[in-house]
Amino acid sequence: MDNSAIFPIVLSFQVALVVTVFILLAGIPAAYVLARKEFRGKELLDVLFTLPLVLPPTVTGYYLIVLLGRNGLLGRYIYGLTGWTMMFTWYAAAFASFVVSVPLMIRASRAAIESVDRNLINASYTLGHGEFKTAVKVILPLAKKGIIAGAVLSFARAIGEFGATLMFAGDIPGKTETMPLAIYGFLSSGDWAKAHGMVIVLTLLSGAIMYLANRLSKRAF
Amino acid sequence: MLSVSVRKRLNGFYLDVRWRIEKEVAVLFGHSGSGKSLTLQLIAGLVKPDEGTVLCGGRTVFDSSSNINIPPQGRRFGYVFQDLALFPHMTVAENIAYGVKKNGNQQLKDQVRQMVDVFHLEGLEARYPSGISGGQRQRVAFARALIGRPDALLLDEPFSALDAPLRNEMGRFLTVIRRQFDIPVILVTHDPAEACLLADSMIVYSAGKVVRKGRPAEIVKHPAHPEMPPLGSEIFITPQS
Repeated sequence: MDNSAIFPIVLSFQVALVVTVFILLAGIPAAYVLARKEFRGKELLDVLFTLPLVLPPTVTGYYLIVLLGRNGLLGRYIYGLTGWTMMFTWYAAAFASFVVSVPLMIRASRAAIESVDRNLINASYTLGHGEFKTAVKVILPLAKKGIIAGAVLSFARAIGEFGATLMFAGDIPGKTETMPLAIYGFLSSGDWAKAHGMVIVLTLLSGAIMYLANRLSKRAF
Repeated sequence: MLSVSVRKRLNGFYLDVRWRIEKEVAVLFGHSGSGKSLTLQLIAGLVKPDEGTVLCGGRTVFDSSSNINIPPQGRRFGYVFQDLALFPHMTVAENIAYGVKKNGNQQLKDQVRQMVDVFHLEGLEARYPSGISGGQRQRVAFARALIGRPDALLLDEPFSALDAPLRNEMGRFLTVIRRQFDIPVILVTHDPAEACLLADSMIVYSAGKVVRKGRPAEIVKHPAHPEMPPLGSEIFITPQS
């Protein structure tokens, strides 16, 4: 395979790995708060976190442009201060993938945290431990299976992200062209052989990840 | 001394009880749904009373009139849940050690070893709760609740899942607990045999109220209340150990 095929594979993995790290960092606390806390606007927040899952990725991409584009609501200030815009960089591809795949993480983790036996949490409290230690030592370890499942689904979603990435990061070969974009690109230019190869690579990799993750979550409690 | 005076309205149920016990084993007795377990949750701080006071050994852990409401983690009560609530992802030793707030040193290891001795759990330290018997799980739950030297022990029908011989064994453990820890012990049960076998004093609940208090022998001899079962059933033949 020449460089035009290697780069998208490397970029896709780079994006998916970075996104998964941020999804773990942001998704677990968000899921914890949604599962364990009562506050005004909670269900609204849940809807907001879930929207990218149900909206067409092009719509999510559109919102990202409106928000973070060079003339966007936030983007214009970032551009004014730094002269830099996220659009059409690999950061944009990562951010678009993050927004689209974080709902999977939040939903799976929230359900897992909510299903932790109330008595086990109460037992931790009566044994003298506060909320933070209870979360770290009891709730999250017992919700591990759901959290892993959420992370894997997010990773898979991130590696296959197409619509929002195309809108927000563009399809720039050697810069923002991830595997799904490359497949589309090869096809539009009639390069069936390369498209074919990359489809197989993407399918095998995704299948292998799902298989490994299933093994992993079966071993976890 | 443990003194409880609490009122709580919950899903159409109204609990209004007031009692006080010394360093003894007191049984909260009554049908399921009479408010026994709820009382334990109110004492432990897992549910907040509408009003009232909870005092233990001169320490006020709840007082609605002066807005004192110490969270459960600050109340220093040992609590054994009906389903025992052992942490399935921790070994026996880790479960017991979790009952100590600061851990990770030699002193903790000694404390755990001591509890393992008291509750005859030698050789099971590295097992998980799913890999030991019901009676052993019971003892782990007691060891975990007591390792932190609580001010009182709250037992929410922890013997209900055991068959009779094991229950008698637990009765002997309760005697040991009393001797070694010398704290008030509240045992919730709806089993009259268990109540008679284990209790120094008995508090009979009915529909969220205390209907009788006294020595178990007296209460059983003169039931005078529909909550008590008729006498003569073989369960009362079990001799006091």
